[in-house]
Amino acid sequence: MVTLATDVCSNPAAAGLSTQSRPYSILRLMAIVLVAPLALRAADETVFTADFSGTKPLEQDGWEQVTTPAQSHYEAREGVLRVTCRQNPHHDGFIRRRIPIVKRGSLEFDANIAMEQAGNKLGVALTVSIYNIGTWFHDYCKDWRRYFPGGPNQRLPGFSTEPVGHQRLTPVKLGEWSHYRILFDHDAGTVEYYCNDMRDPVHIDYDVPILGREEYEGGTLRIGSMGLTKGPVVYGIRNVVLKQTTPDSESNSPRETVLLFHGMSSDQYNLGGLFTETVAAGKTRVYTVRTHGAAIAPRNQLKVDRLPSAATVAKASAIVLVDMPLSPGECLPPPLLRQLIDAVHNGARLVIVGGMFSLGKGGHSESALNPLLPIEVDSPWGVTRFPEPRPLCSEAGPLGVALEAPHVLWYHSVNVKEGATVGMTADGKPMFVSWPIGEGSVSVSLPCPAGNVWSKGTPAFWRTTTWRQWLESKILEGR
Amino acid sequence: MPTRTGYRQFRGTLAAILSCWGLHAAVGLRVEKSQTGVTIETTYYVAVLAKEKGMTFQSLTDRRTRRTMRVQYSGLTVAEERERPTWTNAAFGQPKRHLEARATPDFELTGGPNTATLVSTWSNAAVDVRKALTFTAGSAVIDMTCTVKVKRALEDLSYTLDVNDTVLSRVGRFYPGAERYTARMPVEAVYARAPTYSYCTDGKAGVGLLASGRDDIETVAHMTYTPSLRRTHLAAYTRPLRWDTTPHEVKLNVGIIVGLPADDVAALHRARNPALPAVQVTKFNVTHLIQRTDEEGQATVELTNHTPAAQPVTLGARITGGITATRGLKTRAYQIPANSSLQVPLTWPNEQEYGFELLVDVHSADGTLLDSAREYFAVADHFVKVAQTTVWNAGWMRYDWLTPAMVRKAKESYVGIIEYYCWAPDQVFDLTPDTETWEPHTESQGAYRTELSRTFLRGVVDSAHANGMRVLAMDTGFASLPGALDHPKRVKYTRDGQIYLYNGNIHNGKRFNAVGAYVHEPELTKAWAEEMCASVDMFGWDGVRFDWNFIPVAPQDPLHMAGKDKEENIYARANRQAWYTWDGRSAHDLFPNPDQTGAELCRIYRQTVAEKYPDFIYNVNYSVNHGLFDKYPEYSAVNTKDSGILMESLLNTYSTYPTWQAWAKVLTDALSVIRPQGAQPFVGWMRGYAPGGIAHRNMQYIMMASGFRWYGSYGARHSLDDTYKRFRHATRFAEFFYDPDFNRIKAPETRVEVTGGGSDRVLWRPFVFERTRTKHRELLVHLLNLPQDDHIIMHHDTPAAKQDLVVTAKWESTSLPTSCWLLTPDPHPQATRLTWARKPDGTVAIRIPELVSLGSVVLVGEGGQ
Repeated sequence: MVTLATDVCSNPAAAGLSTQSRPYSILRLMAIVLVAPLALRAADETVFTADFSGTKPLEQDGWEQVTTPAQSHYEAREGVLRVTCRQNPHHDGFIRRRIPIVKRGSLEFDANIAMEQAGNKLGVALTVSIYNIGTWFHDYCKDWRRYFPGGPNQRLPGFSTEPVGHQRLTPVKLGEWSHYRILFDHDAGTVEYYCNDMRDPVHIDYDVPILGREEYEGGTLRIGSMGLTKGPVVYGIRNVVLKQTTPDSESNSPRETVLLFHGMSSDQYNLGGLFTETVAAGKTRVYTVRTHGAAIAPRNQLKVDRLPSAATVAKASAIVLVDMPLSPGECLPPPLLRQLIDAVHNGARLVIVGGMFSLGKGGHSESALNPLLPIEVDSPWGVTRFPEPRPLCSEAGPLGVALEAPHVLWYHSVNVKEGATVGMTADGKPMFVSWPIGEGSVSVSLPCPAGNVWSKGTPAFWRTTTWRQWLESKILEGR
Repeated sequence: MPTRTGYRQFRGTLAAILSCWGLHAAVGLRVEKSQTGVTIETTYYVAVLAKEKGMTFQSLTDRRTRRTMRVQYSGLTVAEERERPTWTNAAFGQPKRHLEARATPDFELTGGPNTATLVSTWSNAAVDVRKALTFTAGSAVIDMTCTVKVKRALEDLSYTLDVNDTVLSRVGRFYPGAERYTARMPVEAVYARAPTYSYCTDGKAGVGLLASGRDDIETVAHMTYTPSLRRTHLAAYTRPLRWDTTPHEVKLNVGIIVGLPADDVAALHRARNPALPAVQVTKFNVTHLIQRTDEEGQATVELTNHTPAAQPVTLGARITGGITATRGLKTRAYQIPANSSLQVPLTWPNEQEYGFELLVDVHSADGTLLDSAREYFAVADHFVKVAQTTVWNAGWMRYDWLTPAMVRKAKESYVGIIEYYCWAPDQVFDLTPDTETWEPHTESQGAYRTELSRTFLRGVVDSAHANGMRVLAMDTGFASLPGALDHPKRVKYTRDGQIYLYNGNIHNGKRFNAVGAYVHEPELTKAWAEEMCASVDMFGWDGVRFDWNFIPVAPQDPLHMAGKDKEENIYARANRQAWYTWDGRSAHDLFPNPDQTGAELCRIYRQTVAEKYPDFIYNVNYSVNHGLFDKYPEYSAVNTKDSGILMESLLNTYSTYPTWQAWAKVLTDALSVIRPQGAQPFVGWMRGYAPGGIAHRNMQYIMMASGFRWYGSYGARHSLDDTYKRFRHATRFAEFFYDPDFNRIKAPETRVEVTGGGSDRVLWRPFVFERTRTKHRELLVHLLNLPQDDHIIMHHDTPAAKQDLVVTAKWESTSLPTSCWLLTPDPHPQATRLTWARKPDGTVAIRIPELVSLGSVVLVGEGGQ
């Protein structure tokens, strides 16, 4: 089965995807979806597996115990490492062992937080660290966190990576086994953290010194205790596996995912209903911008609920930014933008669907995306309106029949860059502009879903099937 | 299907398990004791009590109809005191409750020829309980007698009987009164004072509670739960126990009735309470709580004849307003049939404003007073002069079935104004939903998804109006994101060119955001006001309550407009950042004089609405203590003129203003600022207290004495939360709390001195007022009897009544006072004439024999303007 999946995955044309009838294609696509992760993982090379069977002492398996009887206790039994953390704030000891240096790979493990004697939990106890990446479990806040090293003066005894700059990754359930994965790429400087659902990371860190000094001194895997408890608390760890990822295994994977970034007008556009084929195949990934806190000053506070992994971006056939602001803040962090740009150069279509929070209003002009845009974006005040709603026209003429033609009132007024193609206009103004970038393309839809278009008796473009189908065709064309 | 043989075998096995104990089955009592509990059967009912429920009822079967009512919960509820003994800079939480059904009692079943008694005993850290249930052959009543040794301070004890029965919950009526009453939770139930009973029946099966009032049971409550639960709630409550010194003992006697016609229950009540008057005022309802000056007052009195013979009676009525201005209504004679009730309507013309008492008394043919009752109402066109305020919102108050109960509960607690919160599709662009149902935009402080209908909302307003209450449309002043996208020119933008999103969230996939609206041009403000007029046309609102201000360059939330230290106020700092119009014009450039612009826009809004609805009341959240009259003088003047002013900034009595004196000071300071404007302040949302505690009571007294109105919750009349008693007093003597003509004297010591026993624990200095009218002058001093500690949010023992206080006042008039009065709230609002004497130095010494809680001294005389 793995072999078949690898074949299909690496050669979709051979699998007949482009020639089969649609239902058959969907079935094939679903089969690919089901086995594709296995195919990708099959290319990973396991370089270390912890043996917690208990058949031999931990020391004999290469683990160094940096702890005393009064500190944390480590016992391997039936595949589970039982870690008993005690109340020794920041001095509760750890075990560590040498592991190979892997520049691109993943550490996976299962953990059961406060598995026994949970009544003694208080704050921070169990830590799991690899190389320069440190994570801990916060018993009280019930979450998994990461931290990075601080200066030597901040170090705790025995630790070379200290709990500074910590970041909440995801909630955890106490007393239950959960699966964790830390995916890292030393050269890209990225660390992706996963918990249970392996589709999208719960958090991504960029520009991380993943190996640090260990690149030269040798790699270390460390399991320890921060000692912030009221008394002994038992934690479980099992299935600890370190894998090395082969880049080739990803480069051959098909480009078939649609990344849909829901910006502020996403309810108006409601584009989730499009891409039925990819949605059915589980190949549409949705990322949503949210506001957070109260913006007491007139400066919006925006963030995206989660981010796609580098692998997900690399497999994207289309990236759709629906009224998606890039600022204020870093809604899409610069490293992710660089990944998106790479994906476009490698064949993905980037479609920017305009609104009152995008393009000039979304900080696009100051972003790394700007050079890729087929239009000139320079002002946050570039959105204007027609005196009356105007019908949208494609190269072939008006979209839809007269009374049902999609109309636009508010739009981004821009200059088209040389070499770009205007695919749609309204009253002579460009409304959809595209151009090729590398093996992919970038398109910009300039109407805004704003204004009482329908009060004039005219259909608002974003509500019309005609416009939505037209947009879908542009997003999916060439797949 | 079991075979007959199989069934016999099953019975045989069951008989082996059960120790079956037949006690004179021929006379109608049968007791079966099993491993799981006890079953007791009489001619009226079958009661099953379960061990796993602490030997409380599992089911009750009405034998007349053979309908079995599953008991959801029965037994004692012990509510521990939530008040802390000392002040801790924190609000109170919820009380710890102990439920009998979760106890593991020891029990003993004893019996005689005609009775069986189940005695259960259980203990915990708070109480030792001994409860006896007595089942009597030939009786529909199960007598519950309970002795509780109280070891920790309690709020109260109650006995609850909640039964699940579909028919009863759908069509059952509560007797006496044959009323239906559906609410959400027991604190919303109808409470009646013992001796009384509450019996719920659909005309076939029935269940109820009887209380004689000869023990510590003080009230009986009833309601039908939310229809989907199909549950009927009955409960009997003790008096408040928080002031009893522990350990102490409490006795509860309750009759549990199953399987009687309603008339028989009434007869049982009469038989068990021989001291009931022959004819009693069993209901008394003034139709309109707040009446307009030009309307005819109406009330209904229900007279119930408790005797088996017709009773000729006369019904007298008189109305008292002002202090003691009394007029009598025509006395009428009635003949009340035996064991029946008679509804008697009363009408009267209204003659003046503020609060009134309507007293009715029933005399027998020989002139003996049989019973009397008092009810209270107010008369005012400008209704914020007389009414307390509460808030309902679309998260919970959105069911037609809930409206009658909520309106009744508010009216019975003398809450005259309901603010309906976050109800509109868009609070700027759409106050007139186009469709019958819509999803209100609830985002501003916390969003949730819900649904409203026009029929429901109109029903709320109509029902409130039918009871003489007023309804405000709350308006946050924030647009919704969909509304903003529909009106891009009418919203604010950030310097990035984005629509300014104040806050927001995604709920069940739908995006909610509060958007700063741009209404800062005359025609835009006018359009908003016209939308409000259209909304009044649609729903009948009596006013608006803004959480908003018209000042173009100021924080969105009025609470944040200014702080004590403006430089350190993060909102003031945030305000230095400009917002922009859709085409990129900076607010700082557009509005060089925000005060003037705000005043003009506020004036336009108010005028536009007032032109169509002159009685429409403008209410606004405004923090006047924080220097806003200095910073925005023009706007403040327009904004507060004859307005209702919510001072949300002054609500924090558990931390920011933690003492009686501190809170009274900020309230009265604020009053001094806005009373000259004719504004009526209210404070809240009040929180953090224990209902019915001294802290709660005195907070309300201070609120009233400071000329403020309550903006918060309230309990049902006769429940532990006795808010109704203060609101009743505030209604009756509204003139002396809320008339803007009473000017506060800022240096009270120069005019008044309070001496005598315990006067150091009487709070009066913030509460000295004077009113002068043509040839008429009044000096008003509110006196509050303080407990031992000055901190508000903590447990206080009831302060002993102060005796023989003397209020010495300078009477700045050439003529002598003509009268002097003490207005007190308990046991009912009343005015007592005080004696006074002119001293050689020209001052007037007024003697107050006793001050129990709040007393308002009114010295009246000639010599006005």
